[in-house]
Amino acid sequence: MTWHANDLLPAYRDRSLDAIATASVDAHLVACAQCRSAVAELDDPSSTDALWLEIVDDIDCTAPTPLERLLGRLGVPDALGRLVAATPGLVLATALSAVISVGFGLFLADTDSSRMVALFVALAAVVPAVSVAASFGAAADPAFDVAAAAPLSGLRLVLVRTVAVEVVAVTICLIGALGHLDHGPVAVAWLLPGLALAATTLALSTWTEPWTSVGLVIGAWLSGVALAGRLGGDWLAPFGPSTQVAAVVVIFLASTLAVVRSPRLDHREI
Amino acid sequence: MPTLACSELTKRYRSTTALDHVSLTASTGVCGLLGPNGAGKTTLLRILATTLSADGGSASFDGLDPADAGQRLALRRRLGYVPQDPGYHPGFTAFAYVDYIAILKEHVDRRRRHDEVRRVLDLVGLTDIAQRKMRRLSGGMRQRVALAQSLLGDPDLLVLDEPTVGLDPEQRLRFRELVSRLAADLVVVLSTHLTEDVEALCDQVVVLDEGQVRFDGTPQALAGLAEGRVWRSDQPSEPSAVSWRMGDGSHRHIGTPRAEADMLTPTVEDGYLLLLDKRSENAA
Repeated sequence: MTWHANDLLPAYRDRSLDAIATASVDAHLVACAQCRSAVAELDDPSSTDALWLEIVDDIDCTAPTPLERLLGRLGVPDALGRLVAATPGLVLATALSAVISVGFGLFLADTDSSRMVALFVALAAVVPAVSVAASFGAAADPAFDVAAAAPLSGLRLVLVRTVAVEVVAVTICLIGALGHLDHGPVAVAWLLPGLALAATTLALSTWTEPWTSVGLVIGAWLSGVALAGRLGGDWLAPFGPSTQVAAVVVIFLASTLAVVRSPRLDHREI
Repeated sequence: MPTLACSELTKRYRSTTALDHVSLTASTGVCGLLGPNGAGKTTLLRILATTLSADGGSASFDGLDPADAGQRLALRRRLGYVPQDPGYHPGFTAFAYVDYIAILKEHVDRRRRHDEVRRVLDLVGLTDIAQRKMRRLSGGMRQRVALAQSLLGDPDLLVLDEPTVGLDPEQRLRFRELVSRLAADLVVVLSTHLTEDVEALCDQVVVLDEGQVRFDGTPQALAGLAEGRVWRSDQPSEPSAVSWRMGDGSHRHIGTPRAEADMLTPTVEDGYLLLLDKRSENAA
């Protein structure tokens, strides 16, 4: 052995060497006891402990689910991603929005039928409400009884989960709607009514089970749209400006009602 | 010293009265709730665990009232709770499940949260199976995972609804060791069907029946209710309220003994049976 890697060892320890130099030092350390000793002396025990803890942590942690990874890429913190993943119903809401978005994208590509466009808008508006129902209650979380006694529960938990999943579901539907802008603004006319249905579901859920609430809301919405379309003779009429203004009013009133009655969400008896 | 206090708590489900003016006080140590099915134990524990509201009366822990939204949040930050059926995510590992509950308990920092999860899993002796899926765990192990989550953040109040169900004798022993160690610094309220749990663990025992407190005192005092009322005989047909055949072939009787009866030292179970058995009122 005619040379030693003394000059390179500090950078080697800090992992700041490039790959070729690192491989060269690796090979040298195998054969040189003096440099192995030198690098061991350079090593900070606390950094070794920290590295060891990182390894232990990586082993302990379960690999994130695909949904958690997607949310992580969108900038959602890991804790929030875990909350969403722990609510099986949310996967359903996300899948529903994807099906509506992609399915109708394929279906509407070759049609000018206002009836089909109206069906897309009416069903897309349902997604946010389903997301709310899937966000809380015993059916949405197997550990609901434990979760109900935690500080992050009740309206806070519902809002955290709902906002997270609404962002995903609404984004998917919006991406789907962008492909149909040739149909005019009606392609995104589901957004405000959808949020109004979601707020109404949340408010109603302070009286009854979330899935009962969403059933009532969706039933009323689809019946109303079908009736208005049939009576008026124009299937797209129910999504006009007056509906959008009414949706804004409903969002405000239903949200206020939900907040006022939120203590009911804090207890199991809903 | 934090104190748990209930005053005149009442809860009704339609026509059924689950709790009927229940009052009790508990401080540091273990308070055991004994009672038959439907006595109101779970309802009481849910109210104490802030997941159910009372129709009347009040409850508080260290001055925090669960009926007030702000105080309820403060109370939840100091609470550990194991419900009767904790529920679990079958696809989660034990580590991921406790990690999920830690998130709900506002442990936001990932590294510290994971350290805390490891700590509580170690406390209940589950470090080795932390990576096993919940659906692959035995009922006893799941119960210990549920206990682990309740210990996150070192709670001041621990509410345990039938925590020894599903545990084998050795696990029950370890559970008693752990709870008795913890109870030196916090208030533990647990419900159980097992009088042995009460005898082994509790400083205080409350007997609930049909939503009412029938007894509130020490386990020794509960056993004392049967003082002079428990005897052994070779005859199965004694004028007793309760009797059963023991392993040695003799019969243990609880009620009003004959003058020459072979008296036995009463246990908590004897006192409990005597207290609740309606026939004992006639036999007394």
